[in-house]
Order: sequence, then structure tokens, then C-alpha cells
Amino acid sequence: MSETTEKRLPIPVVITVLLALVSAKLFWVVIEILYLPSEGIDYEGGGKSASLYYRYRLANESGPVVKKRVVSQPAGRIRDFTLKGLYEDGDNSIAILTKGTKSHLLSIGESVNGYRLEKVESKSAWFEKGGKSYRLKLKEKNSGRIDRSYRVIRSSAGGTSRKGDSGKVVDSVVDGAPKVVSRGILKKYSQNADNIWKNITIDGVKRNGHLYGFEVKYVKRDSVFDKLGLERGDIIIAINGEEITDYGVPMRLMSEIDTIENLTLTVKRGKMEKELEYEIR
Amino acid sequence: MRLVKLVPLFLVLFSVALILFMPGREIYYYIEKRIFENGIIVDSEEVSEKLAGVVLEHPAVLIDGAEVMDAERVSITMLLVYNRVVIVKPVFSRVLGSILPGKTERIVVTYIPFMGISMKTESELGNMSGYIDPINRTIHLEPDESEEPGGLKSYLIKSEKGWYYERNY
Repeated sequence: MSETTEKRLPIPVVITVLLALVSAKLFWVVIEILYLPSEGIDYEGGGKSASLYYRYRLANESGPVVKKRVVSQPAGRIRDFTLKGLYEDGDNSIAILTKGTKSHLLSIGESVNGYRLEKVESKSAWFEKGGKSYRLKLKEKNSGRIDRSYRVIRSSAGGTSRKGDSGKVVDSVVDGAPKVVSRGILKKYSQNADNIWKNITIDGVKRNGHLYGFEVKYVKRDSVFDKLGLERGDIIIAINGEEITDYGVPMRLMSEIDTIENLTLTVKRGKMEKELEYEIR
Repeated sequence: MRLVKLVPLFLVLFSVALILFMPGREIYYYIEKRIFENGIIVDSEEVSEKLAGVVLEHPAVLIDGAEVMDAERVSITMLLVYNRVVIVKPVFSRVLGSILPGKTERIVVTYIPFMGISMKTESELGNMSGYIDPINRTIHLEPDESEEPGGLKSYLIKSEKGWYYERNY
């Protein structure tokens, strides 16, 4: 009797094992058929993004290929430039020069027409070219006093009312020319993003539950963002013509910041829309 | 009596078989789909199955269309009562600044029901452990070493209980 029982015992055990395995497999098959997708989401990133260089591409598409305009400026003299503003902060110091309608934002070590910015002082900037040093002073009025309207640069890129400038609103683009921004400065900020947030605070603005733009909540006075013309209360609604509908738009800009040559920010300031244009070199 | 023995055997085997036969890839796709509905995309990954989970090679994470992180490898273990995500060599988007101090080698996030989400990080500046509070969107970490933090010090806040790191996301 005992022997018979021992012989029969494995059969129910085997059946139990098989039943457990089959039940588990069957369970997953049913779940797979009813609920689980067989494919993942195929994300095509940046599909709706506009070209960062849309202005120039449009021009090129409408006609023969036009070679990029090379600004063939003569070697020039340092005094052909006007020193419009200074930002004194050791190695992060910045000087803003203008020549004609073009303005140049230089950080230490960067050059314009071969003149390399060496040092920034409170009222002047030192340049080096061919082993010689040149000093450029901030523009002074006849009285010999520093023109404070240029000391705090709010006008050169941003279309801000300039203090001490009879309330005149200066457009962001001087005679239609975009502001020249040094790539080195952009690199400095893009490589250490914490520096960005020390100088500017922006916050997403939503309309009808969708992202509409970024409102500038705070701009540190005399910071690069201040000099670029951004103001508290501005709502940045498009970057290079691409409407800001998700956070990917500014993120894509950041990822391409090292290579872009032009940048246009469309800003809603009060009831007006302004375009802040920058040429990056 | 025999049935009494066979039922537990069945349950144990069924549970083991559930783990063995778990369609990790499909479950991952389901999770991917659900988080996509919340604006989070896990992109560019190669998915391979492992026991009770999946391994993603070189995934990138995008939130609201913005890439916030990529990693060399992410291993996901999906058990009902024990869920773990191991992120190897994560690189956070530079636009966010540094979410975690120093170059991070490994992040281990564990979720056990009713016990919250715990987190461990291994970075060049030392190891830390703590928790993620998804309601308050906070990461709270404390250095594993009880002594004075070295390179981590500039990132940490000192309280009565000791040093800690906290950041909202």
C-alpha cells in the first residue's frame, strides 16, 4: 500500500508543477494581449523645431547661394571704436565697443579687428595688438564727466529706456543691425548653468494649459542678460522664430549654443512685441 | 491532506513562474507609455530583458520636450513589492546646472510600497543616501560618512543633526 502511494505521488506533483507554469505563462499571455503594448514610443526629437538660422536660410532658398558676408574691415585703429560700456569682474569682465552701427561684446581674451581685450578698469579698457597696448576710455562728455548713460548699458541690445538719455527709447537693433555677442561669453554661461540662474530668473507662462513663453522675473543689474536687453516683465515667446510651446525649445538652443551664428528672441514687452537680434561670433 | 500540500506548492511555483515568464520588455513599454502621457519621454534606448526587469542602454530622458538626462545604462527591476532603478553614469543637462554634486557614477532608486522612495548616489565626491519626496518634489540626501564632508561641503547644508543635501526639482 505504501509503495503504491509513493509511486502515485509524483503524478499530482508533476501536474501541479505543470499547472503552475502553464497558468503563469497563460496569465502573462492574456495580460500582454489585453493591456501591454508590443512597441515602445518612437520619439522623434526636435521634429517641430524651426531652423536656428531661419533668417539666412530663407534668403538663400529664394535665390542663388550667397556667400556669407565677410565683413572686410580694415585693420583699423582702436580709436575708430567707441567704448560704450564696461562690466568689471576680474576674468569675467566685459567691454562693449561700437563701430558704426555694429556693436561688439567682448570678454577678456577676445579680439575685435585684432585688438585683444586684456584688462577692464572702472573707466577704461586695455587692448593688445602686435605687442603694443592700447587704452580705450569710456566716452566722456565735454565736461569731462563719464557719460553715465553709457556706463550702464541698457540700450545696446534690448530696447530699454536709457537712463540719462532724455527718456528716449532705443531700439534693440541699431539701424537694423543685430548686436554682436561673443561666443566666449555664451560658452562661459552654457558650461556653468548655475551662473545663468544667478543672473536671471525666468518662469514658464502658461495659457489654456499650454506653455506660452518664459517670463523674466529678475535680471541682475549690469549682468550680461541686462546688457543683452532683457527686462523684468518681458515674456520671451519665441526663439529664432520658433514659438515656445515646450521646454525643449530653449533646451535645444542651449545644446546648440556652441554652433549657432544668429539668435533672435521675440519678446512681449507690455503690449508690444519686440525682436532682439544677436549675431554670435 | 495531499491537496493541502499541493496548493502551497502551486502558489510558490506560480509566483516563481510569474517572475520567470514576466514580459519585461512589454511591461517597460507600458510604463514608457504611461509616463509619456505625463510629458516624460525615455528615448534612444536599446531595451534588453533580464530577470524581472529590463536593461536600457544609453537612454535619454526628456521632460516636456527638453532633454534633462542621459545615462550609460539603466537597469530596472520590476517586482510588485520591490522595484529598483539603477542609473549608471548619468549626465544631467547642463542647462539645469548640477542636480547632484560632482560627477555622479551611480544612482540607485528603490521603491517599496508603504516605505517610500529611497535613493543612493555614488559620486566622485563621496556616497550619499536619502529619499525622494515626490509630493514636495524634493531630493534629500545625507553623506554616508559621518565625518566632516570634504569636497561635498559646498553643496551641503548644516543642521543640528549634521550635514545634508536638499534640492527641489
